[in-house]
Amino acid sequence: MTPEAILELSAAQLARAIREKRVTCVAATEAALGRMKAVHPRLNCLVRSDDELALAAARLADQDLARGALRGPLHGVPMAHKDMYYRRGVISACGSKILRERPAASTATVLERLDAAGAIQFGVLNMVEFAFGPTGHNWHTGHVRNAWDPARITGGSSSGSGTAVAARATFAALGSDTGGSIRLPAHFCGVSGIKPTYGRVSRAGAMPLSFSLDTVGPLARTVEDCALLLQVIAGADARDPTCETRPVPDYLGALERPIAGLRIGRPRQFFYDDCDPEIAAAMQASLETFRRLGATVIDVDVPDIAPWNAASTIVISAEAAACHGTWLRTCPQDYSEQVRGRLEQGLAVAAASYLDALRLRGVALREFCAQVLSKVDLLHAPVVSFQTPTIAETDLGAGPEAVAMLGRTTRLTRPVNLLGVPAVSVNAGFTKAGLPIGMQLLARPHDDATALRAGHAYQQATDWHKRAPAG
Amino acid sequence: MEKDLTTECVVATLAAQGVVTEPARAQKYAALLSAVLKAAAPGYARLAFEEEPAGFTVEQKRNAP
Repeated sequence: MTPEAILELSAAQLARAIREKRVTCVAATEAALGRMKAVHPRLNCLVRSDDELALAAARLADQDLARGALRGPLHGVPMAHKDMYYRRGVISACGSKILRERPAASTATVLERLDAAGAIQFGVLNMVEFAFGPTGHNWHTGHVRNAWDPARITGGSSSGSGTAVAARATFAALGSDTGGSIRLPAHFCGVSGIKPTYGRVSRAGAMPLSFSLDTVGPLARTVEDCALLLQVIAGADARDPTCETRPVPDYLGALERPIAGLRIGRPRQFFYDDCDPEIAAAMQASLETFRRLGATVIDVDVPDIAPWNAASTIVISAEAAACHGTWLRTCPQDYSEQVRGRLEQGLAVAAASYLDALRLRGVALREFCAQVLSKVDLLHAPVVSFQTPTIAETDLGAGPEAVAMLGRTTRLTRPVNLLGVPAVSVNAGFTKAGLPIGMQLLARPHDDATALRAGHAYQQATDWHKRAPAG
Repeated sequence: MEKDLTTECVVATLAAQGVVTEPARAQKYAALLSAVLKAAAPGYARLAFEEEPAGFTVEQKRNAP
């Protein structure tokens, strides 16, 4: 198989091809490294590639396979991940200046699980400074650029992950989602992503932003790939006390079940306020596809979400400020102006306000399940409501315009983090300008499988996810 | 929230935590936080006396399939 043909495969298809010995692990790794090096100058998506280590690991993986030893479901699949997953002895700068020289003390649980499943990490990907921003700007490492139009934002904070997957430069990538940081790059870059249920995936060894809201999940070319990676990384972990101990469902098996009879909700309020007509039309068309697949689409009233969004902001601000307090006191000049501003304001959040925001979470989830997820299996909504802006248009410094833009960008994603429910983001079409449009599918807590099943069924009936950017 | 946060209040709160902030920055933080707290207020107003953060975990388990 040629490198170009290998790069056209999804992670699941590549894993199958490797198992069937149609592709070697070395060939797959060389193809990914080659594509990454070709696209990085245009996209600024890579922090570092570990060519020799990755190729050595690939050779070993090929030797293992030759003697019949299959390490796991991701045997030989090359991947690069957001630069916030620690590997013992290796530097994870987390998009910052502050951590540029600090080697990690231990390896992230998710990396250990991917290693054990046979995946080969060949590099680390650019990200927003300390994952605290939704556009993809980074004033230390350079702004990451969208593979569909390098003048435009990728979304963030998993900016490198989103654009590298879109550019076929990695078969999948870990991201993280505290206020939308998986779903936004998935939307803007036209790839698939899942923000799992809070607590489903261990956060041990992952950079913290807001420990009450942080979730770890994959971005990939298909929902099937997301299910494959989630299957590997989910599950109890003694190193993360918030990690759920219930058994991990069979996500891949769930994909095979038809969605006929599934009830999909279309929100009457909030999610379509001031929505761009092209995005609204793509949402409507995707609902029609679900109807054709046998799902029932039901209009549903949603509770008042604005206070939840505000509470989410309060939680992120206060928790991030707590994590960064020492550095804000000792080296504030080492933050970019924008991130420093976002962090410092959290120091002014009163303890009672922060606790009220956390007290509101349970109430919000109770109301959301009672009013929405008792009537439908999934809530379907856009990820963002406006056309993809340019990097220059959203490079607004730290003033009120920047604050408004940031709030607008995460308006439809932040409440999902407060609720802690799973959300799959799937490409649902393109604008007339040729830029991707994403939808998100929200499910009940720990019903990640249903969101994945619907997203996969949608991709079996459409071909948006098969389109790749030029170059 | 009865009154907006003031610049002076933010400067003093940050200073008490060892962070020096210019008034111009503090003014932005005060405006933003005041707006956020106002937006959250209707949600906070409905919180029962007994509600606690662990209520989230309870609801997560109760609403799981």
